[in-house]
Amino acid sequence: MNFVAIFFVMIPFLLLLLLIPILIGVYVYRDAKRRQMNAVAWTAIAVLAPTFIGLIIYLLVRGNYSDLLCPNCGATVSAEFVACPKCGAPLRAACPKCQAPVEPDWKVCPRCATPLTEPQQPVTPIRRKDKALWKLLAVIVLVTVLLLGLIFVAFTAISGPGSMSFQPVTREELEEYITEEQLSQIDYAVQSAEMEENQACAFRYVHEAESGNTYYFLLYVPDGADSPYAGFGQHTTLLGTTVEIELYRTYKGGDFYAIASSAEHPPRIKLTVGMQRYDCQIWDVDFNPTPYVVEISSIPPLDEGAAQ
Amino acid sequence: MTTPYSFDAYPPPRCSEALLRETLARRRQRCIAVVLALSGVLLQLAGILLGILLWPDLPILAITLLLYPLLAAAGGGAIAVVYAQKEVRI
Repeated sequence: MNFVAIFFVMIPFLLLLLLIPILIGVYVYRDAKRRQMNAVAWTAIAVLAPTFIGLIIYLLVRGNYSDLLCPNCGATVSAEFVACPKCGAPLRAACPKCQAPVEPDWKVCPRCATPLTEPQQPVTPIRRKDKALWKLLAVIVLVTVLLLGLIFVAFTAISGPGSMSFQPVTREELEEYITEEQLSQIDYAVQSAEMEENQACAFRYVHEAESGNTYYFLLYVPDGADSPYAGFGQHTTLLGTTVEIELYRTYKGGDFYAIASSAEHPPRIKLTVGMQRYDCQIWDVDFNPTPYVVEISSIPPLDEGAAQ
Repeated sequence: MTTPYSFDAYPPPRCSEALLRETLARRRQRCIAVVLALSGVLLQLAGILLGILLWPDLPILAITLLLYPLLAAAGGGAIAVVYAQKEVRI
């Protein structure tokens, strides 16, 4: 699995996706509590409803609340208040007779018809600014754009070069090009694979070169001998390169298959035998277990001391 | 000069600070709703693209990511119908 893709795309993606509902929850809870609404229920709706539908509904139906503060003592006041209930500071012009709130340009009190001749100088309440919603919006927009950018990077990053070869290998062929010691090593792993159901094993040899790594696999497939059909292919996605092998289940015993793959990262093997997915245990070996010839030109030259 | 409103024939509409503030708040709310809806659509798009990317490796997660926008769109549509029937003014 391509851990670079996971660390740089998947984990940021999931973290950013989690960040948005947390911020929405905190905002809605605090705001709903201030407006004396059911904070827990509205938080749950805003967080759980997909793609901000809950938040939009909350913003549409939330009740009004006073965002005015007394400039004298800082107490919360309403627009209808003539004076601050805490400190008594005059907040609106009032009729001198009935104390009903009046507008500054009115000539007569609408309640008691008293002429309003004396201009009054009430203090103007301070309006509390709600910047939290705008900050939340900015984060949501930023995160969305960032996620799209990450996805775009992931889309462009998956096109890596690579190719593969695939061929069946008989036991006799295998005995020709590998030593007895190596063969016993292979036999040991094959026996353990035979004991498990739907289990295959593969021996991997990595040939490192400046032009790129080549991965050689000797794959052992139980019940896959003499398969009349063998489908194979290699593809690279966000999570790395996968070599896909499809065989018929023949029940004629196990058989070996050789794979050579050139890819940027070690490929995974996805093996399907008779529509059944097999787990493939990978064993790293220090010899090439396949009949494919390692490119001589790409082997680094020996140093002089070793050559002598 | 022709004006859209005949101030001679009719008294001018009442305009108060409260009315202007209400209009401003409604416009602000509309703007926020549009930004949120647009962000939601873009997030769905990101989910669909990630689903396509993960399809070969993690098909169950990919299906979830591809179904999520469908569910969200269905839910959003249902809420839009309810709001349209109630004639809620945004």
